[in-house]
Amino acid sequence: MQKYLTLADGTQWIGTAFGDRSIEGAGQLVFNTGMTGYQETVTDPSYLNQLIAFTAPLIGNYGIDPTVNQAATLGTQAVIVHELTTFSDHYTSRQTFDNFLTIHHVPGLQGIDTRELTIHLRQTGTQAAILSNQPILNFDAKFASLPLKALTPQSLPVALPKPTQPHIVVIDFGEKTAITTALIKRGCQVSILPATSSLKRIQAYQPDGILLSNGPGDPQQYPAALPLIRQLANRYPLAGICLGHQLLARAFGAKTYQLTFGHHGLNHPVKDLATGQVWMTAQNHDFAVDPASVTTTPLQITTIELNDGSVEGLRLPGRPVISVQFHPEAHPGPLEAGQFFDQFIQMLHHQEVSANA
Amino acid sequence: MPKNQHIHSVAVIGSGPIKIGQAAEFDYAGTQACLSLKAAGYHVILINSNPATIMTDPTTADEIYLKPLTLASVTSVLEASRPDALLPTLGGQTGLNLAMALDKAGVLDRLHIQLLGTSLKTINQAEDRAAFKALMTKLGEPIPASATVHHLSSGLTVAENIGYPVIVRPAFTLGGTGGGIANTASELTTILQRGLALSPVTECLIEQSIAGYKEIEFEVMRDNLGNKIIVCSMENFDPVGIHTGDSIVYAPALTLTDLEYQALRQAALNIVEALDIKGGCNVQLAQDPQSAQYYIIEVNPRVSRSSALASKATGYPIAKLAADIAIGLNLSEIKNPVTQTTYAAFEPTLDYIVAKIPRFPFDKFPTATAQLGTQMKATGEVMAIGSTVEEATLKAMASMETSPVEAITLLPAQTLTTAELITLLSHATDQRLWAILAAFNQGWPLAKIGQLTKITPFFLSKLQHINELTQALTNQPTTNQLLTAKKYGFSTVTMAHYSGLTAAQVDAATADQPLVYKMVDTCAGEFASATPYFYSTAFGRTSESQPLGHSILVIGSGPIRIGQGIEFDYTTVHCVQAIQQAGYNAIVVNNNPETVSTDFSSSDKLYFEPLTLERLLPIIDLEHPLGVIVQFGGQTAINLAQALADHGVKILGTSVAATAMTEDRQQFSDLLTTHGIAQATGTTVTTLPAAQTAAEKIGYPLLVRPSFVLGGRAMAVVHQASELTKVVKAAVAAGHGAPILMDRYLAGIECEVDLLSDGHDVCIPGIMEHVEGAGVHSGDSIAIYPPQRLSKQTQAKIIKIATALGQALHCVGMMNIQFVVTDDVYVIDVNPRASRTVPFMSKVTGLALAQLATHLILGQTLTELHLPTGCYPNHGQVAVKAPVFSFNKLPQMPTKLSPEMKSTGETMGMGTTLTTAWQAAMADSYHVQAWQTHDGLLVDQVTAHDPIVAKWLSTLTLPVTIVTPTTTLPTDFHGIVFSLATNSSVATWALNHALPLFTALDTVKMLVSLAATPVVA
Repeated sequence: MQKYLTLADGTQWIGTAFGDRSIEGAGQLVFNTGMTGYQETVTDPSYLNQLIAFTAPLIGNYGIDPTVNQAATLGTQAVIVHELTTFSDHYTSRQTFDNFLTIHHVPGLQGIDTRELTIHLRQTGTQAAILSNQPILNFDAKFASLPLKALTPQSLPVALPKPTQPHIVVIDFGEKTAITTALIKRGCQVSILPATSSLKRIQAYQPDGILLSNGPGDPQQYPAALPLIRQLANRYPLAGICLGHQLLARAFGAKTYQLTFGHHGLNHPVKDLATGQVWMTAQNHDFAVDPASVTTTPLQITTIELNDGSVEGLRLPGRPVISVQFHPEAHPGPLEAGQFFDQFIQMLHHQEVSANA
Repeated sequence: MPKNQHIHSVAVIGSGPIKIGQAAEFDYAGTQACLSLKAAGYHVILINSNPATIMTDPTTADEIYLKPLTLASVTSVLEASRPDALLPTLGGQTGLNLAMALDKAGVLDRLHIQLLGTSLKTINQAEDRAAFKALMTKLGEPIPASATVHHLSSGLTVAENIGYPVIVRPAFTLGGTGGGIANTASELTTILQRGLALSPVTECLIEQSIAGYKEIEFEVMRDNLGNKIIVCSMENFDPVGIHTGDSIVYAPALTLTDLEYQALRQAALNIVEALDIKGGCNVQLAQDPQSAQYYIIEVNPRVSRSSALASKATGYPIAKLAADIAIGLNLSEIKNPVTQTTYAAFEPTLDYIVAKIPRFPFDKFPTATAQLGTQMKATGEVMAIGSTVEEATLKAMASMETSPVEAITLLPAQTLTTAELITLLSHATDQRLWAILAAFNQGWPLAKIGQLTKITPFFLSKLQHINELTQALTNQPTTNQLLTAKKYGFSTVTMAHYSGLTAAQVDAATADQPLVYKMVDTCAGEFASATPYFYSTAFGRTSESQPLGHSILVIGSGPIRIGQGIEFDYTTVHCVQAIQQAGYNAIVVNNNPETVSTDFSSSDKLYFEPLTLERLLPIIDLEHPLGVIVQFGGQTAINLAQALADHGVKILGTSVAATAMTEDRQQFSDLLTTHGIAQATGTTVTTLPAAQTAAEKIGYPLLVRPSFVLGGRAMAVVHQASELTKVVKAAVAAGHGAPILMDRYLAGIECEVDLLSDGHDVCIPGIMEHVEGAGVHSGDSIAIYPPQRLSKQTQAKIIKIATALGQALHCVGMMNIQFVVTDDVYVIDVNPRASRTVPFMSKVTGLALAQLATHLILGQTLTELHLPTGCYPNHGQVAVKAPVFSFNKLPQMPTKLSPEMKSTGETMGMGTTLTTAWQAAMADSYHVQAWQTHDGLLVDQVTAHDPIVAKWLSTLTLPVTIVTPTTTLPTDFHGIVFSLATNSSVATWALNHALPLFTALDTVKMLVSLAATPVVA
């Protein structure tokens, strides 16, 4: 069965359907340059209502491992690959990628020149696209007719944590499971609360620190969260990741803007301005903090993307508040940026010491 | 960090002659690094004894020493040149070992030479098994249980404790030489004895076998700030147990989950950090296919064959950046040379698949043990880029130039029985890939093939797919099936074979899905790049390659094999340089990842493609070059000339008709007769009865050889009628049905010339006289320039004949002519192309012969190039080119020199006298360093009883030991070994003890005669 990928600028690619054959998808089309981790990528809630095109030529090689999903539901509108592998012999695989997408009602397109598509997106920028079963006659009408997806909220914490281990409340904008895992691995207890939670409700959980999670979309669409973030930053050690980082910046008056084609990959060099060290990071964002606007806020830029100089990390001097644009939790991607969590947890202990003093 | 201002001159040690385990990749790395150092403003001093290298060109370094790579020789070069610093990590194991020896001998301290890049402490920590094990234990990185042993008995005890099977890895040997997997105590005894003998420190590691695990490699770079990146991951098709140099390899790693990939990646980074690497490093790991368990296999703290492959697979120039790091720069301040807009501190991401297939010498040497293990046996490799695993694999198979039948059918040339298939699948040899396809073709289930081969089923499923596509073509040769097959990389000839259609019909049916050209840009299209590096795919819509215009296309020489080595990459690169000097754009097509010619910065555009007609024609259609040059890519390129010309492609230089004339027996013979040039009586035959009749007519001894083959493949001297059948049959098989040549064998002095011609005038750079007679292949002979035994008249006659032939054939460019001098000067062979001796003669005369030839091809005359006609004058130097053999890597390969070429590389020595030049050449070729006649000569009984040898031995005054099969071989022998026997145990003993082994009487005679002459200082 054929499927049609049509971009807002009218360009079209015709390929073979996979995943859920019947469903069509529409949203912003982005390309991802990671060579591993297709399962973690498509389950990443930050891709809500986006179409993901993989630049890696062969996707599905090691099947699907039920333990590595980053969220319970898939927010992505469609997946586009050069070639789909349906054979998997990997010992952790329980089903094929094709099957997995079918079960989660995500349409897929295979057999197109994804390099051509990538170069087109690089040159024209991220744009709206539709994956349809028939050629598109009226782009706007078709786009409007296709439903948006929503993330399933995570279940509320059932019990108050033990006082023996640091307790982190994650403010959930669309959190990747790996963030919780990274915190637990480092000896923390984690409670996940919706981003709409009030300060009072958060306080009731007696957090030792707050983590603003990643999440989908334009940070400008979260004005309600900003006052809460300011309040939290004044009361608790606080860390922000990706959207959480952008919202922290906005909460303190910085601006955000849209990148031409975003950063979606596992090979982004990030430079620590204090040490000059560079490490590889996983990234997945279309928006970034405007560095010029940061100068008007109390925030300080700590790290930048080496190639385009975009803001990758912030801190609030005098307060245990830090944030990063990249994904220190990895999954998929390089692990060395996990030091961000170590830094955050160190801040919690430091805070404890000062509180006791 | 700014570049190091405390030093001004840097010495670089090359890797020396090409041998198995250490080949052209070090010329690529060394050249890149030297150019980078020069560009940074340093004075570069280079030591390498291999003339067939771009790194020893005057444009690569400031001071070049074509001197032996021995401690004494390198010390004297350093004393004379007094560099401020030494960069030891570019010359392979040879370079590292020499740097460690220089340090140990106190030379570096005494001369105040600073070491750049990764420190010797690190090198030692990575190379010394015990030190490495200690470090891994400290880091908590798992390594297979192991112990270092120095004696057989302790080795056996260790193996008992670990449990069989065990792997034996000798310390400090090339390409894992002497290692192996032992399943029993008796196998261990054999392997361990050899390993201990080969290890310069008599040390072996006995290791728990993890054969069957997935083998994964990472090429890592780390800079002075501690920034670390993975340039490329590679996954071996063959599981752990087969040397990575002998494995089929894919990039990127294809069957690892993100969890596994990141765990291995982090382990590699942790190790590189702990070792304090400054530059490039190779980390090899093993992943259990059934659990999260992994092991570290080994770490190479230097550029390597794998780093060359990784550079070509990604476009990321590892050696160049390693040199930049060595002089103090950091990845975050170096621009990525591919994109030129981003920084080198990032990890390349691929949107294509790369396949590498090793090239083995077993097609030439069927008796050599083809069993693959931990000891490397491949002489070279091909790489292919495609957008599917199938396409990359098929393109690599098309680049192999092993068997034309296999290239078309994708199956072994012979039908295999079930028993044969089981053997070929369970014991890896060079044939396994084809055997797997044959098993699928016979309907074997994937699971069974997986069980026998232990190859990851994912890869097998891809081969199964290829087989399914061939069957679909046979059963239903529809346009759709053809399009699908083409999309997955099938060649027209294969599609035609299976569909029963003609090639033209296949092409017509698939014309709407043409090959398109995609760029290798390190970043999967994320950043705009202008890299002139392309591959073709039929699985794509747009082509990114825009025709250069005003271009000349150069066909490279493909994989390195015995008979067609690095010399042809050297000439290809020189051809490109001359094309650029002349103001044209140079386009290279080649498929060898090890070489300088496939560095995209060597030419104006590189197409990394199989060297087949159907892959070349679309490139030519796209680029519309002014012409194609085939003279510098060895027999590979020459063999394509006729077919290209038939398709209307303009071949520049000597005409295709003249080329054909030199290869057609009758035409060539007529040509010689017309010009009154003596030739051996001979004829051409195609069948055995005809050969028998011809042999009677010509008389014995006679020389039998197939036409159109390389390196004297299946060429032999037949002394009597009883030997004829076997030799003729082998020649018919090797020539794939082409006529075989039979000539009277002429016993005399063999010599050869390369000539330059503009079609009218001829310049001969010099005559090379061979030490060994015509029964030894010219590639295995020691060549001396200028001639020592030829009279003035004979030399004049050689020049006269060469000139006459150059003119008669209207040679434009280069030609090589081989002679035998007896009572007269006989012409035995003409090669209408640049030959193996071009780099040697270029270094000797100081004339860049291949460049000059290219200028001639592009229309200049000898006069315009200021070249004389006749023989180019000698400037008083004597030069000796000597062969280098890799016998110690190829058990059961015949060692006696014969008309079939056996050497893998060459070295050269220069001096004011023959003796000094000879001694310099002996050091890196036959490893004769300080031999004096009183050290003696050891000969086996069979050889000593040969009447001619016996007569010569009786004239000698030096101590001669003749050993019989029952003689106990000496333990402290420092002399030389001479053996003409087949399967000689004495030869094996000499190889195991790294003793100089001579296998031709003429060579050893010359050695003894020159040793007797007092050396003039």
